[in-house]
Amino acid sequence: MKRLALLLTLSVALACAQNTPADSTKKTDPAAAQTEKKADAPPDSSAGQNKAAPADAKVDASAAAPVASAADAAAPAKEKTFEGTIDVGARWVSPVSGDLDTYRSIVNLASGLRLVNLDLKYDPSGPEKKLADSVLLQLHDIGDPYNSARLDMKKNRIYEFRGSYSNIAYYNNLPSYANPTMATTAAFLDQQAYDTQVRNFSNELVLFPGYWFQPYIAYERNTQFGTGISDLVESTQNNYPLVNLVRWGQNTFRGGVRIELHKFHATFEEGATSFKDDEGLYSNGPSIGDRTSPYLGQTLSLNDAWEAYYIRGDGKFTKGFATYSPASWADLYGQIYYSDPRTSSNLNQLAQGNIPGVPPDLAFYATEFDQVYGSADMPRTSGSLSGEFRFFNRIRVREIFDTDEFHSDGTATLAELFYAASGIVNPLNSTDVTRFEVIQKSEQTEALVDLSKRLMVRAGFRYEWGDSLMGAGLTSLITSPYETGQLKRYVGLAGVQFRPTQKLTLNADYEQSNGVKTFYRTGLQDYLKLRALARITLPWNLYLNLSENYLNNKNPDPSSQATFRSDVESASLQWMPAGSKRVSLIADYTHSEIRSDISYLVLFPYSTDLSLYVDNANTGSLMAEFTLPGKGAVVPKISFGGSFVTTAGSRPSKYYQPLAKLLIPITPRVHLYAEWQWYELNQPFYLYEGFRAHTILSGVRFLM
Amino acid sequence: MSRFRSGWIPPIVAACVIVATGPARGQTAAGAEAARKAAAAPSGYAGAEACAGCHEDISQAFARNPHFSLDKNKRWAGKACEACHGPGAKHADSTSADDIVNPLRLTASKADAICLSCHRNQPTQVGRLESGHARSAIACTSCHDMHKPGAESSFARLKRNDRITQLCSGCHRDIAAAFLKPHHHKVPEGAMTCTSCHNPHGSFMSRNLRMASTGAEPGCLNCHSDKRGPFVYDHAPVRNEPCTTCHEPHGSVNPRMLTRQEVYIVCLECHSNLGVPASNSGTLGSTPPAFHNMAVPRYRNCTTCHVKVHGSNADRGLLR
Repeated sequence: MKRLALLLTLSVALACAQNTPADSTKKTDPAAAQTEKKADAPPDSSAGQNKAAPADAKVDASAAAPVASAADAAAPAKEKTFEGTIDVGARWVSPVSGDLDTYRSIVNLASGLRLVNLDLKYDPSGPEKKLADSVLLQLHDIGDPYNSARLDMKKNRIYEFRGSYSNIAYYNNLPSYANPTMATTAAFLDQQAYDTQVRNFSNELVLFPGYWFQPYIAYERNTQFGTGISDLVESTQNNYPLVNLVRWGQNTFRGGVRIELHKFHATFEEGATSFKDDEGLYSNGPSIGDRTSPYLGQTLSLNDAWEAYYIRGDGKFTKGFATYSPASWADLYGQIYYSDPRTSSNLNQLAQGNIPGVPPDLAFYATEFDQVYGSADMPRTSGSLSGEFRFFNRIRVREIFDTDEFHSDGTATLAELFYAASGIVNPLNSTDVTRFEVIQKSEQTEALVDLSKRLMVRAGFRYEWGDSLMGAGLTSLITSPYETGQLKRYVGLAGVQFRPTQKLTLNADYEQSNGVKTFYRTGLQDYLKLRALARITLPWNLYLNLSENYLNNKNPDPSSQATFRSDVESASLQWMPAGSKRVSLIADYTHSEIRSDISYLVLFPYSTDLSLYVDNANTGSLMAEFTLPGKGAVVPKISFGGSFVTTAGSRPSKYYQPLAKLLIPITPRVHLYAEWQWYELNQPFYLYEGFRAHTILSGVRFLM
Repeated sequence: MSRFRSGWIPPIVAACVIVATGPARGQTAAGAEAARKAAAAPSGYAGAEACAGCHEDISQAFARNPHFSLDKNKRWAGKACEACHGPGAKHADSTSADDIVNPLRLTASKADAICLSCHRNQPTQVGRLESGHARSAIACTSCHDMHKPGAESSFARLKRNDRITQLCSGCHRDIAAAFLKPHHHKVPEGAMTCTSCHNPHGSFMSRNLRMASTGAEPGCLNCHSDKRGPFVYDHAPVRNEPCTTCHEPHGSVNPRMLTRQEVYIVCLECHSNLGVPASNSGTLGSTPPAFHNMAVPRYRNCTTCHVKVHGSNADRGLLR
């Protein structure tokens, strides 16, 4: 009963749970927002197909209406040249109960002033129109750890510019991810923890010197920088956490032309990348590392260490896309990619302490100095060719061929110097060459038949095949320097779309495979995949979506004996009486089951065992919005809901995010808003990673 | 592997240009077919003025929709509505819904054909035959609208991350639910959206996965370009299997969106062949890489030592 009450309470959430508080009124005025809400009422894929009636109904109803003049009909409604919303506010976060690092790894919101949302559209009408017809500027969650921006500018028939930026904090410091018995060291975080920022910056400028010829250029940058903890592994016998300074980035420049003709389109693009990855690691004091037992009678330790990793890379790439309609019954599509990235690396490492030699050397050393030079390149060619052929009015045949081929060549030279306390130097030099090859292809034929306006069925066949060669694992090096892998799968395809009425749409998609070979033990082999979706418009302004996703994969090979089953059922219900004028409700519930069994080797004692993974999850969210009594455009709104996730199985977890929102318009152009949200995570097997926290965000929204 | 070089690309380019400049004949789409027939008989058109007479609200909204730019096109000036709905003179006379093309009442394939008569020629559409949406007859109009004005148009709405997520979630409820799990990509937070990783129009990668801007690599590398390499020592599945071999990209209860509750289980499910020599089993990477005693806690999180698990430039064992 308690569970049910909790379910009901928390069962109030979705759309808004994923939206910013500004969501419901981001339009120019409340009326517009309401209009949009009506239009969005069934935000499902049936929306378009189910809304056929209004236009025709209007025709019938107003057939006798006087015909409006062209000016009346076609003249755009008088538009504001400048419109949008600006939300500013402040967030307060309660002291976090439980593990702050886990809170930061998952939620990471902090107190302070925020530019929650800025969404401005400017359509110049004066002299500025010479520069642009339209300017769109969006800023979201500035001040929060996850923020983004967008700038679009456009001048009809002259240019179009699209720029975007995102900044995502990658904080990950979970004790369960490190060695749980690790003695506390001077390191700031746990092993394999990071406190970094990932930034993405993307720009594209398209020019329109003519209708059929469109050159474009683009620049993209992806970076990560910050600190972390990474381990230094000494001769495979012990490992010591070191502070890690991370800084990497990739710049991508690309440009090309689009050729737009009546029956033919082609895009040719050339680009280049430059890449750098710098890591600096250093110890923060003596450490005994992770090893708790002596090695050959001695206690291993590290007094001081540093490591510098410099990786530089560049590459070029070529792309080509084309579509061609040679006849009214045929469409052809093609794409081709070629890339050739290269990297070179330089690693210097110094370690001092009681360091074991690399087996079979059983000596111990006071200092180790390593230098590694490496280089690698990987030419890759991929492409696809597909066509749709309509030999008959109701039948479409689709043929698709995909290919992907690449290989990677690498060389590394290692120079190691071991200094014993006695002054004896033991040099160790080696050179290694590696190669990794992959050829992977697939061919698919499918026929789609429109049996009627309401029923489409399809069936087809896909054949996938490939070969791979890679360097063997350490223990396999004894028998061969390389391993080879094969891929061979025969897949049957089927599907149906049934739309018996405007208010019901059913989709189903079925795949079944008879695999012969697969590259990896956990790969798809003999699988059955089923997806089904029903979209139903019910009376009383109710919209219901039901979906089922099922995957069953088996690898009967005696060395794998793998079975994997995933079963996910979802239901979503929306209630929007009277176009959501007074109340709206969106609720959804998903139940998922994952079960994986695969045999694997247990080395101590040497035996086989099953790796069993189970995850049974119940997920729900609900959002209820009520419009309170008001006057004119000054109509307050209150909404509440949230989401819950409860899972049972290999890592049972409970994650709750209830929320409530209040919007109070002061004037048609100034609104006050407040939002409360609660975060709670419980994991019975990892109690030390649970947390609870409130956040309250309040602010002012300005509408233009 | 020198056959992978791109020397054959220029001839293909040349061939494409030759084909492009070949004789052009009519459009392919059913709707466009109707439009073409009507073009041959100009009297079949009623003109936007006539449409607005009855459909005043739609007409006014349409005038603020990006598709209204058709009105500036020589061919469709004054009859932009009929670019999609076909000649409307007969319908204007009879006012019968049967006398006009209504894409919403056509089969998805025929409705799409109308849109594609203009939009096929866009790079995003190149992989559309491989798209799950196209295969399942999800029409363009399921996500895009043609009549809504200004900021209400799908053109404007789909520039916002949260609106895109909301739209996709309408059908893909199971995926939206996965994002509610504690470890997830920052989609609910609005920093990314579904189309950051997927191209809903199609891709030759499975699950409509967007390709990296640098080539035929998974779009994951657009943000995680440090995993792109190449590395002297590749971790093979990073290259020729989806990232989903080890990660649940939408959301997971496991840290780092792993597919299993502990790191070592993710690793050992592959690195644990049973009695078959790796060199001839046809399955890659399955032999145990080392003889660690998993009962000892320090070995249970493989990546505390194998820190370069996505690929290393210095160590075959991915230790640095």
